[in-house]
Amino acid sequence: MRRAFRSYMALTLKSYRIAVFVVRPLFMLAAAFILMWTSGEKDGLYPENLLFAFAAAGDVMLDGALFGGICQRGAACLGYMRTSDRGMAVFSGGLLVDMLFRFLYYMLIGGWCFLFTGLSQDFAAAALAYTAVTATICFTRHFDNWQVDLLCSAGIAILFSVLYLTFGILQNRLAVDLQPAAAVLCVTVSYAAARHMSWCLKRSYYEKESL
Amino acid sequence: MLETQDGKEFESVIEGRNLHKKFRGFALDIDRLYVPQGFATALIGENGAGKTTLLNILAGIRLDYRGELCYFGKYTAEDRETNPVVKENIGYTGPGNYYLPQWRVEQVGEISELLFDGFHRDRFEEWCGRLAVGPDGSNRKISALSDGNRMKLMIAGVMARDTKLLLMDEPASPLDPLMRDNLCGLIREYLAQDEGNRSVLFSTHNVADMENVTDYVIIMEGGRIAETGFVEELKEKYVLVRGEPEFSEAAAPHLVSMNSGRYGFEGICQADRLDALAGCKVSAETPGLSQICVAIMKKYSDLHAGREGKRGM
Repeated sequence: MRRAFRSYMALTLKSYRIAVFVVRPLFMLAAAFILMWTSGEKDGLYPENLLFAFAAAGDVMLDGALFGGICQRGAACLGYMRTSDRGMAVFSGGLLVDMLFRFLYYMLIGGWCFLFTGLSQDFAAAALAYTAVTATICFTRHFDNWQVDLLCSAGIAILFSVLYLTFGILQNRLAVDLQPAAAVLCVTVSYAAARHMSWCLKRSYYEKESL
Repeated sequence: MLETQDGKEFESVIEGRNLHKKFRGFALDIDRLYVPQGFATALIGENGAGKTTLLNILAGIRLDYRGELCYFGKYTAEDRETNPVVKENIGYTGPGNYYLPQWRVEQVGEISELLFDGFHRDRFEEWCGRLAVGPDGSNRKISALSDGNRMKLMIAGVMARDTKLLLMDEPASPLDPLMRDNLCGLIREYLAQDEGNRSVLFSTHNVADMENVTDYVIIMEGGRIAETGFVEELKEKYVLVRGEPEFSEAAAPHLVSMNSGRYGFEGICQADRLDALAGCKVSAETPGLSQICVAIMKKYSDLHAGREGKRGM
């Protein structure tokens, strides 16, 4: 795991880490504070919905700036990675740590919202937002194109809203706690995303001529 | 083991047999490949001759090929993928987007440290300074570096490692003439270390610039090896002939390639076929490596274009 953290640190830019670990959380915590303080369900608004949709949209753009195009066949930098027997491990390790940090970031916002609302479904909202982002970047990482990232960041806000509202509606109609289902979805998508990344890297890495 | 015309034997750092890679409209087809150990080998050929494909196969960047490879006299291509020793001992520099464009110069050092045990960060920084990577030595983004600076960065990256073999794809192309001269010097410096156990295989179009560092030559044409040999051997095997214009027609069939004009002709002839030009008034000289390479490439281009039969080897 230590090596994976080192890989993450080496693969990511300092400016990216400042944006991810300092600017993004501070901005989102401030935004959450303002939204939670000033609005509520009584106003017909779902502040956590707005908050996570915004966070997810920003995340897709941020990810595209660093990892855009890495799932393409013959992506830039893979040539260098291939010249080392550890290249694959370094790259996948870095991507896994990125995924872990993303999860922690959403849980941080979820926890912050929970402090205001006292509703445990804020954690479910965080898990769903994380799930939507993880699924979306599996797609956007196939393109080294900020226009695609921009389009997808708009799309993800909708995707998350649909997921979250469906989750809320189902929970009300079925009158059951669906938070474990959100957790299962979160874990399943994370696993699938990790497999997908690994497959994409291997595809241009170890693919052999079919003879 | 590589045997020269005069019976000398040389260890090979890479040996290949029946290497085959097929693309649409192009096939790399090499029956036998030898890269001698302890020497600088130049891989020369036209654009699209298969040099980059071959170097990628040798470096392990391409795995979608058929054939057998042997590294350092004992490791197979499978060992290269499973035994860390093989890749640790091979340094590779390639063209284009070798590093992620978002990375910065310092990051290359950090990542290389993770990728290779034999990478020395201090040596990397020293080489970056020595090669003047970046206009002011700053920690710039790879995408902001010129092609030449990017190549210098790659060279600094491999020179900072403990390797036994360098595979360099077109290292001279993006460099200025002064830097090309430096490149020749650093290849010589690299070869001189480790008691002659180090080898370099580089592809180049700048044959004249790289001639003073080239010991052995592999000339590729249309995915095949057209000629190989030590430079001195090739210079003995081929002769540069010049003659009056009236003899050009008579000489043409005996030359590998020929350029003729109003004031005479010039061509490359195989030394053992020089007798065939006895009736022609020609002068013979030792050709430069560049002239030999161009003649051979021209001959094969003519063959591909269906102009064979006019000239012979």
